[in-house]
Amino acid sequence: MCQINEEDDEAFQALKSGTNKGPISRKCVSCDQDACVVVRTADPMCRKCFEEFFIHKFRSTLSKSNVFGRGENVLLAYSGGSSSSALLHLIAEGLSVQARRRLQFQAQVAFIDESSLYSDVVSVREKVTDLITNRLQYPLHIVSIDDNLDKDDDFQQLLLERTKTLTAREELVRRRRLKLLFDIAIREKCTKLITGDNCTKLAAQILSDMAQGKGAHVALECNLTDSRNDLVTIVRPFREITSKEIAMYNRLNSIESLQNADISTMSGPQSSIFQLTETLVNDLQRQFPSTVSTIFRTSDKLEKNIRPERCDLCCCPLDINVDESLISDQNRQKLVHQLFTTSPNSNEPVHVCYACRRLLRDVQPNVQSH
Amino acid sequence: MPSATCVSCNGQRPAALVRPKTSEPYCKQCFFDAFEREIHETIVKEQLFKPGETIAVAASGGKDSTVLAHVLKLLNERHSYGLKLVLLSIDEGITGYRDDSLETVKRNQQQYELPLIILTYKELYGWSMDEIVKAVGRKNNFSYSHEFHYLFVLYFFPSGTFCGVFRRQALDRGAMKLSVNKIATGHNADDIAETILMNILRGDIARLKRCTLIMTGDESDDSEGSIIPRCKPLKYAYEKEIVLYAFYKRLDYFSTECLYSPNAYRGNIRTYIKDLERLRPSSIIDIIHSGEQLLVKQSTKMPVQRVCERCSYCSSMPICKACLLIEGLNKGVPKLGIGKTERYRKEMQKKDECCSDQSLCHCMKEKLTVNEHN
Repeated sequence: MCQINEEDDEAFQALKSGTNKGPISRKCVSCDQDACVVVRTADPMCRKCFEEFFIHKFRSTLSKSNVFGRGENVLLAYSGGSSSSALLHLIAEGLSVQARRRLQFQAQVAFIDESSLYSDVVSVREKVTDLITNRLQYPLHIVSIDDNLDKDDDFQQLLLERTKTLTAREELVRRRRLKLLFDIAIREKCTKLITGDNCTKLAAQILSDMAQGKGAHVALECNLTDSRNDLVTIVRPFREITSKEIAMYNRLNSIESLQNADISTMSGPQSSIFQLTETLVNDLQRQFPSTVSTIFRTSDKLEKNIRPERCDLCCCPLDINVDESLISDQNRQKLVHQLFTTSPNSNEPVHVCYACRRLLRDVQPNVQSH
Repeated sequence: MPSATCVSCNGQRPAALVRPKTSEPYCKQCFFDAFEREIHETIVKEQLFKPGETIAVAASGGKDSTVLAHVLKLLNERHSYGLKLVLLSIDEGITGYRDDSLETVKRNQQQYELPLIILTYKELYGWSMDEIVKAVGRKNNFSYSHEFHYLFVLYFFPSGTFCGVFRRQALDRGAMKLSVNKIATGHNADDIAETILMNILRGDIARLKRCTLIMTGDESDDSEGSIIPRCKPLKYAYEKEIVLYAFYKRLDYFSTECLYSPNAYRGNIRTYIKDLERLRPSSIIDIIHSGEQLLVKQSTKMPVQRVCERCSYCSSMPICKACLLIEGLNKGVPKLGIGKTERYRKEMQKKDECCSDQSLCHCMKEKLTVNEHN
């Protein structure tokens, strides 16, 4: 235990002492021009080389695994944040007529409008429509997060009043988003869903999932392709790109992200499990710059759980016995049916995985009679 | 309004505490019952013991081993496990530090009426920690005072390496000497949760696979070395509950933190887990569940488990770490086995006492190059 840490320390000491020998080198490591960014320790790069490096990583992740078929219908999940803005930009460039080795799929964009959850947030629908429909001219599908729910099942009320913890709220929103994205993809006959999940976020997500009992799904959540849904495969081309690299790329190309506040904005580092974990990962990353990539590489060595039965909340394979996974409480069963599954019959049995079962314990069943 | 009566005995007795695991109010008696019953269920479900076995309880004098010894003795009698229990304690030979915890273990022997065996580093390895520290001190021309033994070691010498390696093997070597069937250690749920996260953060996939196993070293484990199976009956017991149990039962223990490794890294994880527990008490068990679900890809490269040439202990290198460290101490090269060892390996092979021809040690290549120059 201690010895591995000491070896790391020695290596780190050597690295530190090695690079502090003289004035900091300002030349790009690849082409020896003047550097402008440093994203890896001791590796300054000029703008051109950095962009090449960034785009190359993105393209090779996609082409290495032959993910997309020619003319395939692909749905891009756009949230307005920095990662999805960078993703949109890269895909737009890759699909454009003059692109080198042009991408061969058909793109559509989905945006989930969460403004109904907050009382004081202005919807960014117009900005999104302007960007995607008017400027980029891709088919755009906007849904509200409480789409298809009638008055009785107010999602906002569920979240704010009947869910006790911020952790549970975040997790419910996360699952709801995914469900809506799958719905749009299936409706529009898209067989792939691309998300902008980057390495830093995935690393925090991995640990946060471990803390909530979702260890069985870590391999699925950080993989390039995620086939939890038989009809739509999730693709994560940014999985090996850190948030810092994305921020640099956005800066150099003046890519703007839209305001995307969510329920945990400004709620403090100890307010939910994910916030706590994100703080831990960022703090560790500052002291030990290999933290994020090590977490990621470790989970990359994990095997996917292949059980056929799926959780009705998160669509991942079950990690507990089928009989243990049944929800007995009628009200919670109804809740799952209304928000997450498409079954018209709300008396059908509901199966959930360990983490979703734990999550539901934090949600008060609706005590009003219908 | 929070209930002020125990949820377990349905209000027969007033609640005395809130159970950390479930955040429900419990009276003392029901808490003891629940705590003991859960450990019994773990032992039965995971088939940890067989009747007639001799079990060495690793006793350090700390809260975990005291509670473990107490509960195992109690359950052994209550449920007729048919076990012979023995307290096994290791004396590292650190004056001023270990003495107190050893006194506690000796008192435990009286209190629980269990036989106690104390083995010293000196008799197991030929070196006590005091002597190791002296050897380093002489080498570096450091003078030190008696009281600040461990502080000196803490700051100027990575003795965590020695302590960790030696202690892990000491239990096994001791148990082998005494021919016990199994070792029981006091690892609790918090320890295991910490270890799972540490292994993810360090990228140690091999340990990640093993650390959630409640028993290691029995027939299901495919290592070749002769090691005694060791189990963790307290695997699902929260540290907070262990402290509460020891407190209410007035058990005798010596509260020491390991002063040897300030190990700032593990401290970060400790804090994180404590914060998690505050947010959601079930997190600790949830992390363990997560860890148990992890499957390693078949194609992943794992360190080969082989057997040390000197002492036949299981090892991933031709010579196990403990033998390497002792070798270094004996030859006056105490840093051997710590940090970069290339230079020292070359030194050792020049004296032709390193690896044999059949060894898989990669210094064989260097040996050839050295001979060529000669």
